[in-house]
Amino acid sequence: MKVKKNKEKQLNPFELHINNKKFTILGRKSKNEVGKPGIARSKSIQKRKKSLLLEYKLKDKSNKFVDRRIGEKNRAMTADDRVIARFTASRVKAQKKMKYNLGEEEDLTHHGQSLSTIEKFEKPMSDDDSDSDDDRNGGKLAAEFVEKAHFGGGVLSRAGDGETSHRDLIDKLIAESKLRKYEKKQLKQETNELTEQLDKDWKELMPVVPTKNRGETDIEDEPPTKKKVDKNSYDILMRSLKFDRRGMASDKLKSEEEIAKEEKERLEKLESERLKRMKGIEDDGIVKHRSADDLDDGFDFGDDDIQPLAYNSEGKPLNTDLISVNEEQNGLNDEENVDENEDEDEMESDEEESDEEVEDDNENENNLNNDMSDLKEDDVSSNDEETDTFTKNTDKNKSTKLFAKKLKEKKVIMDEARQQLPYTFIVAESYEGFQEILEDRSISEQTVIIERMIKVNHPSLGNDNRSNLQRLYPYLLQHLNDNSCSIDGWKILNTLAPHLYDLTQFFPEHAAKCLIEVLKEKHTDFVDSSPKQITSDMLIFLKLVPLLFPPSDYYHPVCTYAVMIASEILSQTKIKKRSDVASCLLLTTILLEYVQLSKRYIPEVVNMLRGMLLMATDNSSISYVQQFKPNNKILTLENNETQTEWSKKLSINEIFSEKNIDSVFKLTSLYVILDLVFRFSKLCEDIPSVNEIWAPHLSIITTLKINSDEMNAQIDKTKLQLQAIDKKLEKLQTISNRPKALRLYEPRIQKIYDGRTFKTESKEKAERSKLLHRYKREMKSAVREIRKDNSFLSKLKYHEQAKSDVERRNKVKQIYSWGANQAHEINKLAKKNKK
Amino acid sequence: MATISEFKQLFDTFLRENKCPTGEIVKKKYYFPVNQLKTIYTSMLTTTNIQWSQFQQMLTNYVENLDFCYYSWECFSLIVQNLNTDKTNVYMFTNLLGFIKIPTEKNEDDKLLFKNNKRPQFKYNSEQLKSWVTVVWDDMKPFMLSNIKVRREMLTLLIEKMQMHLNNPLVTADFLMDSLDTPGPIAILGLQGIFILVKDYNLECPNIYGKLYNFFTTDMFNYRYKTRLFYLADIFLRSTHLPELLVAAFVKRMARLSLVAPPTDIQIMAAFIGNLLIRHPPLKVLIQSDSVVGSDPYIFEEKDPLKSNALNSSLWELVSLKQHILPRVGKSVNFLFKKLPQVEWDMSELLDESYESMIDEEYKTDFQKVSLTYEKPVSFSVPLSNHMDDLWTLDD
Repeated sequence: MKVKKNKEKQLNPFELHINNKKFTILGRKSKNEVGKPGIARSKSIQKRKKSLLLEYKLKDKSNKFVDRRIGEKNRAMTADDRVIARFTASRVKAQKKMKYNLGEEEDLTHHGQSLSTIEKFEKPMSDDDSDSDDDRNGGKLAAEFVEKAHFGGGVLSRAGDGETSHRDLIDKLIAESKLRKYEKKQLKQETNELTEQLDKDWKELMPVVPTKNRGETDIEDEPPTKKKVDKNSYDILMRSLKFDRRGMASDKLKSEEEIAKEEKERLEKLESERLKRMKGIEDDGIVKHRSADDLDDGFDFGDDDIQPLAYNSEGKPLNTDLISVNEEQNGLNDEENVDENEDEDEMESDEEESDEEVEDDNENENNLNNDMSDLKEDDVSSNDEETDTFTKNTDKNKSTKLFAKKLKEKKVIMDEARQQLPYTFIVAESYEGFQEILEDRSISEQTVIIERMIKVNHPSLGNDNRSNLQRLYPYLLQHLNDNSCSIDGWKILNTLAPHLYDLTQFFPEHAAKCLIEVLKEKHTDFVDSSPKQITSDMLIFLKLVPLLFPPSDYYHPVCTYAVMIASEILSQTKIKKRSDVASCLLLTTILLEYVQLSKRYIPEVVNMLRGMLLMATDNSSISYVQQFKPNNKILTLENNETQTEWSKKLSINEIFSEKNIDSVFKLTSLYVILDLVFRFSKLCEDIPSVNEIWAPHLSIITTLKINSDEMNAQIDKTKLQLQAIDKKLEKLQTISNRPKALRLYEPRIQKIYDGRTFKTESKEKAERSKLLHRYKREMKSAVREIRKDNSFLSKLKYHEQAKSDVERRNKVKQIYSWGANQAHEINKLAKKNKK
Repeated sequence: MATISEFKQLFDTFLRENKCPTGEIVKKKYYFPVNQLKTIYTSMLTTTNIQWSQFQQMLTNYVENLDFCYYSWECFSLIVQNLNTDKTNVYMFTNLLGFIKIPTEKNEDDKLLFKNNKRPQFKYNSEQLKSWVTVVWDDMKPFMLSNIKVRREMLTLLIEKMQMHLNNPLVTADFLMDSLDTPGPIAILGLQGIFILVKDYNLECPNIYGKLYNFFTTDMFNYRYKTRLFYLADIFLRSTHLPELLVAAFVKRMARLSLVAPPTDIQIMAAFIGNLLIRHPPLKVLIQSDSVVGSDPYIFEEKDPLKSNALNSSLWELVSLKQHILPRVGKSVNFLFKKLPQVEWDMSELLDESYESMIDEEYKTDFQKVSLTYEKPVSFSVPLSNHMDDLWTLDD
């Protein structure tokens, strides 16, 4: 073997074909350095023998007989081996079929008949024993019978009795068998009857059992049972049972810490989203957090953060100041719940729907109300929590207490209103209808009505509640608009704001569109009016916007629009009367709320405050801006005017006031102006040119001389704030100067250098020529192959021909030799005969 | 006193002149009944009960005709010599002057009202026309000085068409300089007149840039001709050979003003500043420097742009405007933080914007998603803010 291997490896140098290389190129592996023509040729011949030769042999033959019996061609196998192999193959095949047929055993056969069919034959037994017995025996004859019939003397032993011959015995056996058959039949019938009875009972029971969509099954199932029992009824029933709702695994109850943690995370996430929007980074990919209990109705609780009732180590509650409020509220809410249960009952009787359905609804609603009452509690606590976390408000405790007190008062008033009103209100089809409902009601009563309207039509209750509420939204805005000409409008806004907030959470886009339309209307009113004046309705809606939509967003379809309108109004309104001054200051305060988180800069507000301050002084060194003119000095105080009593807060009623400007108003508004300057300058401390912005204000304020301690305190405070802004300005260096890379002159390297230059062609053309080249090569090689095939075939044919020729020649020779032999023998005979 | 129907009658008789001329036909002279037209105009000016718009309607049919316009100016030159504030409406006269255009030259396809092949052809004589226009201008002067409204109208007229038809346009320079010094919008018109003189008639105007610089005040946003001012300033500062100190002063002035400007003007000024920075590469020192200063060295109150110390300053104002409440304004100063482009921005489309157009555009923008506040308000004051509660009360 070793010698042979070596022989194979050591090729005859005369059998090699060596391709000479002109150049040796580094890093290139050449495949075709040495060719072995002999080996290659023999390989190709072998290949052809396997492919072409076979085809040639099968030429002009339409079919062939293939023996596929197992082991038939294998000579090493004996006949027994073959049988065994075939049997195992058939068993394997059968096994494959039954792979998923878990219940059934394989069918055993005997003489080609399955054993089960054989067992179906009547059992040749005549025992009186109970069925259970022969069940257990599995069809075998009872021991007694066997003893009697087969053993124990047989016929001869009984011959003495004489009574029962063997024949009688057989007859008896037959009779018994018949009886048993009859009994079986009877039993079967009874079982059938019982099943039918059970089915009937089940159907009667069906409506009582709650199913997933009971309403539908009622309609589907009942008619077929009454009218016709069609053959699919069983299937239908089976399916309905199959798809019946199963008990679902629910999340485990969360501990208080977990809930608190989740809430904290949720709030942090919302805040970070808000910050992102404020900076103008758009991120739509973020999916809003959804609670596990989300009903998937798009309802957003918004502020459902729960202040956990936490205790310290001594067992005393940590947040005691909340508990009193919460307890009271709980009491109130309980009553409220009772009320609302009643009111739903009323609604049910009104609506006259099927009893079950209403019950169902009622349950839902109760749950819902409980939820809502919980939420209300949470509002109180959440606000506190948020002040803790987000604002560095120093007097938060004070405000919390104040807030709680306010809320209590409000609750008392609302409760009174609650008791005097009916419980359900339907959203009217038209605005006139809506007005009728609210007519002659006090503001608190109106609020309760609207609150109930929203509750009754909560979107999670299904129906077309969502569209009802969508209809209600413009009504509410219109209601605000209609009442805007007096202080009532503001009071309504004050109480209605939370409800509008709730509604906005249901359908943000619709609400946004409604508000934009309203703002558009207000804007056109302003543009068309002459002289241009701020009216209360504009202010109300501009006030409403930041309550519902985040004004801190870098861009927000509603808020940006509102700000545009507000700034136009602020820069173009004419200031002549007391009400003008008040409205301008109110609008300025509203705009302060817009920018309170985003800390953005509004030139119109700064100009407005500058103009207002100028109106209060005789200072002439500061230039006038916007709509302010030097001759308009309506706020200038005389020296003797400062001794009156004045409050530090302006009343919203002032924007409706037709009175002349008196000293009290002058003092109060000056105080408010200074306060606004203080607040705004504090907000935009961070912007670089804050000094330049507030310089005119500062110079006016320094010249203010007023004989009032409180006012002077305010002036000093504002002055200090404005002076404190002392910035070291760094000169701008906006673009970081990246060092510019030197341009490098590298040699132009041609990809391949082999004497040929490549044509520069277009991409398509190059592709085409490449393909053409490849096609030519392929064509050549194909032709070569065909040529080789032909030579192979012709050789084959020649060999066959030669073979057959040799055969024929041999045969001819043989025949000649026979003939010669015969002739020889004939000649021999002839010679004999002659002799 | 006359009614519209009487005027119509007058015009009818005036038109009939074409077919049957009543006046004498002088040889080689185009026939046009100047006297009749003059009477029509004079009666127009003396009536008080008819609105200008009604006259305008009557005249629209005739102003297309070259000869009508041409000879109208002859009438005006005749009328203006006897113009009297007591009897005639001078303001109406300025309207009339504004409505009838000054024909520049005669074309073949121009329409003629009194065209007749039998009579001599119409000849356009620019010298003649110039003398008429000059007479009108000279004689209107006393009215201009007494009445500010007339003055404004005449200035607009001068700038838009009369200046190039005067015998010597440079005579208006005095008047224009006077207007330039009067405060208010008239000054801008004066500036434009001066600009035309400087550009077309080689007037050398001392300290024109100083004057232009002083137009940029807080008042400019209330001016009627605000956009005209921006347009002119853009042209004035177009030269790349202006001293950097001067341009820097303009840039700084506008930046400072943009702190108190309405949003549309901020956008214009931001684009303008950007353009100036592109035009004058050395000005990049305003946005590209690494020293620290205590406060802004620029002196806003300084009247002389060259002494305003603007080059030592930096454009903090524009960085501040990034915090502007309207996103579009914030975006308009973004160029500060990017590489300046090679090509200037087109300011012309910004010039026409106003609060209304901005708000309308915003109204039309579509939106898909609306973000909401997540803190429920309990009253009308925004949660977590005490501004409303501290300053306002619902009680009386």
